[in-house]
Amino acid sequence: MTDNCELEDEIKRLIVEVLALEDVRPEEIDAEDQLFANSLGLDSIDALEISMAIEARYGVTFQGDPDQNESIFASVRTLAAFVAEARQPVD
Amino acid sequence: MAASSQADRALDASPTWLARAGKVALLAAAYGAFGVGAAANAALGVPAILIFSRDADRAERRVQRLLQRSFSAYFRIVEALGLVRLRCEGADRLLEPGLLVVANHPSRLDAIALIRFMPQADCIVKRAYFDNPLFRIIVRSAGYIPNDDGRALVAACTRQLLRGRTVLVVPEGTRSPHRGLAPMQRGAAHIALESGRDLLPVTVRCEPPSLGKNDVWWKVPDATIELTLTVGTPIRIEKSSSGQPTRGRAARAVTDAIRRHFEQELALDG
Repeated sequence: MTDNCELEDEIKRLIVEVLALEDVRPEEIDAEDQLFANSLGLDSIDALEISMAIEARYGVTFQGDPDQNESIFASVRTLAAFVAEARQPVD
Repeated sequence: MAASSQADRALDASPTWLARAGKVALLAAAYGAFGVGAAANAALGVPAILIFSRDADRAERRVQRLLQRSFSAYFRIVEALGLVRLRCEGADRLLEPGLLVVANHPSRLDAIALIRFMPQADCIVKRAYFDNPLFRIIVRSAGYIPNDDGRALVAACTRQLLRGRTVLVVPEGTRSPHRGLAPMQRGAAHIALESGRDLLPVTVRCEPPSLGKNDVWWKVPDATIELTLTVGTPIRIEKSSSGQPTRGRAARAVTDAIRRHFEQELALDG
């Protein structure tokens, strides 16, 4: 589960950069922390901006299903797992 | 003359709590009238439209028109009760199709005041209304858009704008503090950038400040509440977002432009 460590760090940096979070450093974000309920307190437009940045950077696409996106955006860990899975070329 | 000056003295002498109690009674009547109207629309008006409308677009437009007429009647009632006086400067410009309208939100009455002047408006409403037993049939049949999923929200609003429907957004997402502004969320800017539509700002003023976020429902000023809507000059997204490297930055720049517009209109500092 933790083999996405590098990717998780990248995504933490991307979140801080995209959302211009001035008082948060990437390493302060816990990969398992709830992104939207907890300390970061992100909203649905933050999620939109993160998803656009991730799509642009990793060439993946998020489907329109809100329930599915909610579980993908639960934490940095679930987000990294989704990206790792989605950008794997299917053989 | 003598009789009338006696009456004046009697009024002066009447304890203010009596006047307050009268005001609270009027307010209770106003809230009651709103509830009765909403129930009548939910039970009769909206179902009648749904039965007689062939396609969703037409049904939604008719429900929105019904709401506009209902709120128009509602304001005639509260104006007759002397509670509120509603005005709109530039109301004609709200009648065009395909507008992206943004408004600030000082009072509880703003949404219905705006809709009063907009025969067709797709509104963004809290998800809770979609599950509320009274409002669910109304907001669903009107084609209103829930605010809980950013991506779905921007996609839905953009789709509606591009097919010529007018969309109403409150960027603060909640009521403003007295004579101020709450922090702006960036959804309206994203909708503008995605659809390529400029924003039409409507400034809402509520004087004296009342029915705000932290005001309890029965506390209103003794004076009639003056609710004034002012349709402003469009906020050009190309101008406000030029030179921004990403959509996210552009949305922040457009959001800043929206905030500056309302700050200037409300003559706020900084």
